[in-house]
Amino acid sequence: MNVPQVSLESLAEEPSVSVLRLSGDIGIEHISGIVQRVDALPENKRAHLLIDLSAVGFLSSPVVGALMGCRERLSRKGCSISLLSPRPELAEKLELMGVNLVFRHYRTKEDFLKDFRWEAREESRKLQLQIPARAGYVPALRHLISGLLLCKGYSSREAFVLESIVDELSNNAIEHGHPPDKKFCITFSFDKRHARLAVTNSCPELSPEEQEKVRDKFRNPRVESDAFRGRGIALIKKLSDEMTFHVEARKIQVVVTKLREEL
Amino acid sequence: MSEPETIRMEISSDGAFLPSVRQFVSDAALAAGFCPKSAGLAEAEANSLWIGLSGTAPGSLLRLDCSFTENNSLVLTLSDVSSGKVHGMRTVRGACE
Repeated sequence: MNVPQVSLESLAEEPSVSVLRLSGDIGIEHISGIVQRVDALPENKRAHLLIDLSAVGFLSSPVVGALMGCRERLSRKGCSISLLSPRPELAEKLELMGVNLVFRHYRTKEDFLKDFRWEAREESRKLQLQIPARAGYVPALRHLISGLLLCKGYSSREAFVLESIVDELSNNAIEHGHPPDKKFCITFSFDKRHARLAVTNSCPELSPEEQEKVRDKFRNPRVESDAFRGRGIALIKKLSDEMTFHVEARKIQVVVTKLREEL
Repeated sequence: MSEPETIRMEISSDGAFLPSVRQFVSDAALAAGFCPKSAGLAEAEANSLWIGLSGTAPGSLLRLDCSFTENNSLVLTLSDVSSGKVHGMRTVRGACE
């Protein structure tokens, strides 16, 4: 093991992230060096401290306690803190001590950057699907959209709204679009604040009058009180914050935007 | 199934998405007529392809092609959208013995 070292530097990819790099066996004698550096970090709500443990062989319990204290003081400044790449033996020890319940921890720097950019930079996530125009695939689509949203912190209610919208739009594309290429396309993007869904399908050539008729269905969806079906567009309009549509001779696209209700 | 069908998915390379992608492959296989056991195998193969990735760049997009072939098989191909590099390919038979 190398001589124990403690250093603090900025992360090249994200200057607002400071990296506390520890190496060797870190014991009680290193606590003051760690605390001094961490406490000198300026107050900044977008700041983050990443503790790189990839070169640490041993981390004593008092050091873990000191890091917990640092976390407490940093959170008062608005900064967040997480751990990077502990070796398997150290990771096991930290888990036994319950440290993984207190600190977020990442296996690689790339994993950290993905999460940090989602949280702090509000980076979006994207999904694009080309899918055969068969109703049997729609439940799979619903689960997929819902699963992606839930794992990034959307509530069950928000996920259900989006999966209902994708269900209605996909079924419309399949049943009413009759796409000659027998497929349709879904483009979905979302970040911490909103989700945007576009469903596009080709269609047999529509005359200008037929195009206008389709536009009218989107503009003024009529719901017959005794009908079992035909509520899709009205429902989508009610559930979404914005719905736009583009009707061309051979293509129909519906775009829906939904803002987060619970942040 | 009368003719081959392909689902093309392009998705942000976020490790948190793996369970949903796995589930999608399984659901799609069932919808394509696979038996539950084969759909489960397809899910496991999708998992193995994704787990095998190492250090994809933040913000990058992955492409997963699910091709249901005429001989009742599913071919899964995982690649990188920007470079086109194929990370792996797996084939699963659709019919349970």
